[in-house]
Amino acid sequence: MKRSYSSFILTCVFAIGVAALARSDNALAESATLNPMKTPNPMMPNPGMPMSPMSVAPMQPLGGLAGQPETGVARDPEHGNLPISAGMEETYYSCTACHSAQTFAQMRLTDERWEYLWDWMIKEQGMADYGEEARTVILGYLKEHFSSER
Amino acid sequence: MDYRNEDQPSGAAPNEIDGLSIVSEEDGAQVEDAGRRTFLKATGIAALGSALAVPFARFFPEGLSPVGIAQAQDMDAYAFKDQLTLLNDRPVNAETAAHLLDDKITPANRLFIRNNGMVPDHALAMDATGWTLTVDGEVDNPLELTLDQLKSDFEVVTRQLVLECGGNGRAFFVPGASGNQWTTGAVGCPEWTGVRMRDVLNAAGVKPTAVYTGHYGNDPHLSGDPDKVSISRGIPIEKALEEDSLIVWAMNGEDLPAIHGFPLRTIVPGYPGSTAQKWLNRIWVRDVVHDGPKMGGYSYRMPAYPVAPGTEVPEEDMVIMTTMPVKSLITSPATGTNSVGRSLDVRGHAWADGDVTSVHVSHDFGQTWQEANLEKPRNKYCWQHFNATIELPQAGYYEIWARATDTNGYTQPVTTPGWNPRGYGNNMVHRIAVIAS
Repeated sequence: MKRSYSSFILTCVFAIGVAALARSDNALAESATLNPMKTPNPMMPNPGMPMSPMSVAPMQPLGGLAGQPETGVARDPEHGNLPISAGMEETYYSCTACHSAQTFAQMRLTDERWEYLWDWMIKEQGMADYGEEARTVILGYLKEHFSSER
Repeated sequence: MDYRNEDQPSGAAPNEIDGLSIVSEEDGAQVEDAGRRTFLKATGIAALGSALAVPFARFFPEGLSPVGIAQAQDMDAYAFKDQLTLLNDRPVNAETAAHLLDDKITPANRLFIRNNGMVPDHALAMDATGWTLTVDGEVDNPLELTLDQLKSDFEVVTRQLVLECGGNGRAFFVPGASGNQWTTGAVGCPEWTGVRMRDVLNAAGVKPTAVYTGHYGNDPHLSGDPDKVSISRGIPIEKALEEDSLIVWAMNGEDLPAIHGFPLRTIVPGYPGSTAQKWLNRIWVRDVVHDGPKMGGYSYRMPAYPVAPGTEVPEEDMVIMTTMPVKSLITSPATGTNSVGRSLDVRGHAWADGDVTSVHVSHDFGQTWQEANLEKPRNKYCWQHFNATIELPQAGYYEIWARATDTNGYTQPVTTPGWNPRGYGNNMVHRIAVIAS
């Protein structure tokens, strides 16, 4: 998935030569020390939609993120209209055992939140533990297509 | 979309659909074909069938799980809705565009839906035979009340009260937060009829040890596990004893619709909608903060301190979200309206945890603000209607913004307020676009 949003962030970040800060276990300390690789610029321009129909929808979610379909990717109507790539079928069949594909397809999350949700579903929501291989495949697919990071 | 069972292919042999082997519980975990599709079946439909011992799992057509059949029924219960935006169909979640919320009293067919599990069978059948409400825990006299007893033994009250999902506005947070991506439409203000929660609790005799309520309904869990509770949240006992926290059976003078909690639910105005338990059958008075599903972790909780967007906040630093912030919606004209006159009438609603004291509107991106006419609330926690006539200086494109201020002096921010991991409490200014001719 290619988004002008993420590429713009990366360009800016590398242009000013700022390296990613090491993660801290202390969330308070981390929140007080902004990570330019992960922290969105609050003044980020709304990317990629100049003079589009969005101009009459000022409440369109910013950044082309949540709810905005990824463009330039083929979709499979047989599998919840999900973007076609490695991991699609594993994701579709595993997830829709309990809930619709819309449940996850409407989200745009950080990698860490996807990891958290997997564990939360096993611990709290009665999801079977499909094992490490399935986890890698399915989370890889979700992080590729439903990410706020790329 | 059509999920009806009878529309699915039915001619295939029971154990073989589209050439693929589907295991039944008699077959155990054995599958004939090795490889990826086998993995899919083992993790998906077949695993569900064997793990939960669903009878006749082998007869389920490909792509339609046992839960999928229930899903079709949920969508039947959704069918009366008028032009809602469907965010999810299993579980059913749908919101309402701002211009469809123009009515002063939100009609049932325009009220948003936030379901955590499936619609229970009794509600789909609209059959409340034998329904009871249990009140137990930290009370002197535990109660088990029939609907008739509730309706006859307590004062019946009708109040118009805002119901709003705690995650309304989640879609505007960057990076995104998990959950349904509500924009502005997870809110409504119907008229509710029922009894005061405090009258029922006092009839049971609240012990001094009571600190919290725990609300239970019978909505089936998405996993299909009958022992799992979809959601059970509660409120501080002080809030439960407030005049406007209700146990209701009617919306706008009619029985609660199946999808909104028939035959009984709570309404807790000023608090996140998740405390308004649907299909209510038990209030457990607790001597500790209630710890039912979706009380803990990141659910309906905010960081205890401001965090940068995207921060992984430790669970122990998350605190329960209580009151909802001040907010407003422009309900007329609809955004995107062309050829409005240069003298533009706008109207909408504003609400808060308490009263709204003023609403201001702007046609120039917040550079100047004009105070709108604001009606008094019909009752506490009812939304308040505002209207204004805005003189647009010339033909062209305008955004109309609305901003409400509450009795505590809090006003709506122009951009998203503090980012939080689950995207709660976004009360940013509502904006619509018009072209003046």
